[in-house]
Amino acid sequence: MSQGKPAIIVLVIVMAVLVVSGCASTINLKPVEIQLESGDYQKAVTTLQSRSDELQRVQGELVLNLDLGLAHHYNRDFAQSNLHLSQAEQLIDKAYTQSVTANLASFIVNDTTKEYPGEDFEDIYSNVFKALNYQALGMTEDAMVEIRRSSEKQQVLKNKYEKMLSLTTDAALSNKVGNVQTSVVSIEFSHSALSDYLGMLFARTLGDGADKDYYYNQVGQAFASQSHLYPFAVPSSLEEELSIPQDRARLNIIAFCGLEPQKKEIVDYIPLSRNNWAKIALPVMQGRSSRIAKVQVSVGEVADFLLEPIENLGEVASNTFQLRKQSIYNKTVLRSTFKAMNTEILGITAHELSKQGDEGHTYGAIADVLTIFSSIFQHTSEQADLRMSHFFPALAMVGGVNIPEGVYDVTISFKDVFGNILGNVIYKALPITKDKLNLYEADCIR
Amino acid sequence: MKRLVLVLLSTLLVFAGCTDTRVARINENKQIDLSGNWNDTDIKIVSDAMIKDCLKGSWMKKKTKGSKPVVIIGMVENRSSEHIDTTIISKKLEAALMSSGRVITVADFENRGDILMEREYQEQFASKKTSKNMKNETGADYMLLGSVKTNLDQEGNKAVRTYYVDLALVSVETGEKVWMQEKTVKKYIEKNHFKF
Repeated sequence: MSQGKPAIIVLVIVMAVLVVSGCASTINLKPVEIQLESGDYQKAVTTLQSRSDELQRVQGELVLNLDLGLAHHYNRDFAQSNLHLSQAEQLIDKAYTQSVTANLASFIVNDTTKEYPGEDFEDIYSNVFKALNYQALGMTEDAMVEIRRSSEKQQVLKNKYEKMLSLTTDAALSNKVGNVQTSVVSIEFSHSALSDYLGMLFARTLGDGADKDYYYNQVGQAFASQSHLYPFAVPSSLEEELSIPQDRARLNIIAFCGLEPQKKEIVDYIPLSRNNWAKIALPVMQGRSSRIAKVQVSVGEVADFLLEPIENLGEVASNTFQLRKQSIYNKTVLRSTFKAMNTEILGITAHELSKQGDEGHTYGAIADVLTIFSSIFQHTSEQADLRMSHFFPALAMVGGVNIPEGVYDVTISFKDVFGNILGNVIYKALPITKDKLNLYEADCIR
Repeated sequence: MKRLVLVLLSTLLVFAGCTDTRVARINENKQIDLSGNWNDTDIKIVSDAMIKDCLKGSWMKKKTKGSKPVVIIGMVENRSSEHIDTTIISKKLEAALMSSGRVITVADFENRGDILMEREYQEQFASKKTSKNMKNETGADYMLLGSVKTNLDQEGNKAVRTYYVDLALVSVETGEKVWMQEKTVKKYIEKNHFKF
């Protein structure tokens, strides 16, 4: 018994440490969400900043920077937003090199032991929002740099997806899976129409005709080749972007609505024996509904038009997550089964030992305790990795109009299906000038 | 025993007071690559090649209105996917042209406004003897223009990043290019998959 005691203590400590290190990755940011929804962006930033330690502890530095980057963007503090989004971009890059120990721990505890590497859509859209920040700061050349960076990343992702697609197809064929396409059809995202659209506007402003045409064609290409992600028509204003009449200035409006989907945990159990089940906790993407049905723009007395959708960011987020889902599932099943088998073996050992006299009885009791701890460890440690950003918008809408040069009051109204106004963004005395990019943003996170 | 505790405590305090930041002065020519992005080594490679080629160019012998050709530094566009300060290259070239003694350079777009303001100020407040006249600037014969572009080929943890830097001297009068050079910097970047 005396020899067994230290062993039990060590095991209990190891398990406790592992359980604590793999603690839950959920955080309730509903107050920030409500402040964003009500358009109180300054308050949202303040609330988020006051909870930054907690957010960093629970979801990591990357999520904290993405959330602060977006909150500052909505609050029109573009320099601060860029600071956080640049930091996030660097952390995504750094996370490529994974810790061996954290990786090993993720096979024992859960995926939260690893550094959060960011979802693909977070990486791409960080650059898109940085581009909007630079443009708002009057730095179009730098905005274009961000779009090129986003395009590069999209190309790398395209290669990655194609490679994974071919690997999945080969694996499915070698396993004689009937309908190969059904397992790979979801990997559709290859380039962002929103990023290309902004590239077209910036290139036009910089006087780069070749780039302007290239990005214009890419927008059409994105819609044509990814119909699943772009179930709406190409914005009718797109054609007008290429040829602005000499006596007119062009006003461009971009609006963001709703919020990106969030990861939720779903739990399933695989039975190993009558009393022992392997817990399978998986993250799934769950959309957050938006009440906004249309966005109307009024430019003084001269123009009135509706914005048209150019990208469903939420759908892109869900689509790109599909790619990682299978590997998360495989790893989770493997890990959880291993843990449950461990409990099973300990249970059998305890039962066998208890039959072997006094000494066996003692060791049997030790094994019993270990079985209980193993079971607790299995159930508490097996948690889905729910880390992700919280405040990317769900939908981007665009539009534009050619008007005489002048100063205008511009009102952007966000309406529900019944035509009720859910939010207004008003720009007073906006100077709209020729040969310049007059791009203005309106957000309604509802 | 007490002494041991004291030593341990003071060691702990020393380490607790340590910071993560360490700074060391290093040779400016030492090549250090951290991220694989555009850095001082690339600037040096490009600038050295450009300066060398520009100074030996026959454009300097072309007849101009003044005794020496006059150059103004124009826009070197950043058409890459990195935030590159292209003025570092153009300023290095400008400094080399000036130092050669064979070329005159004049204030560029960014400084023109300040100089004009100063002349206007002198017109009002400086003595007649020392104030500078309007419409007496030296007109440039050539403008330096160029761009930086990048190309990325990446597969997993391996990437080849190529920078294309082109510079040209364009005649202000005729629009003819009297000198042009392109320098390519190609980098192979490999990231570790794992760390301990």
